Amino acid sequence: MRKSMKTVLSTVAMVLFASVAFAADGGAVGPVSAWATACGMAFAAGLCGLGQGMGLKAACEGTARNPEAGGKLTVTLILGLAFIESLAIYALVVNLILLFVKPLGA
Amino acid sequence: MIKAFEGINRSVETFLFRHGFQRREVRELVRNQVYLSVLASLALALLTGFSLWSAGFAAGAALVTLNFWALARVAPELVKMEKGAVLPLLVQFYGRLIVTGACLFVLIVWVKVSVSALLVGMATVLVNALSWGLMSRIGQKVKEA
Repeated sequence: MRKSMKTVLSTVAMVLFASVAFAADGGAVGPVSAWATACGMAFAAGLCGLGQGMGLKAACEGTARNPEAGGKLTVTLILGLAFIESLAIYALVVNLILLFVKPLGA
Repeated sequence: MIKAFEGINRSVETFLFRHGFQRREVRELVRNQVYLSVLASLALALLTGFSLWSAGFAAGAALVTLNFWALARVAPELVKMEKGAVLPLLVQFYGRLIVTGACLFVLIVWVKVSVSALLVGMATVLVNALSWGLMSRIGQKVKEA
């Protein structure tokens, strides 16, 4: 199941990017950077959301099992959420640079 | 000197307690983040003669400190959910993210601040969290010994 999922996803990715790669000539950096920005933010948001959800789930379970440990769990949760969110914000900064500052050209 | 510092700490913590930070550890974290961002921004501004780079650093530090402040207020309620009000929490959580994104857009695209300064300023929250974790671990080892 997992192997076939990987195959399907890589095929879809190749099909999606093939047209862009073949259509791009020397000066067409814009569409490629737009694609890169969209994919980068999608991956960053998705994976950071997954991480935050897992952290929050574990904290809720821990607090439900042992309410006295809620304080320590909350502090650890805040730190974990801050770490994960900072990663998403870094990705956003990189994507904004790619999209608007255009370091790779127009 | 130490007494004056303790007095400042106490007044800052009282202010934070009044603004909804009821757990001591969370108050300490937010307090340290505010200290770190303000002191580092001031030190950089003085060292570089109020350069644009230091302004970018200050903007990044301020943005991430406000973000951390809001996160530290929302996170305990996400776990406990004592009020039972899900919608305001969601609005607060996503509103904060939208405001952060808009501020970053304005800073990078319109104001054109130095991106390296912005990123270093935003890393203050990581430095604060790592130092807090290290200090608590050292404190735990001292207690065990």
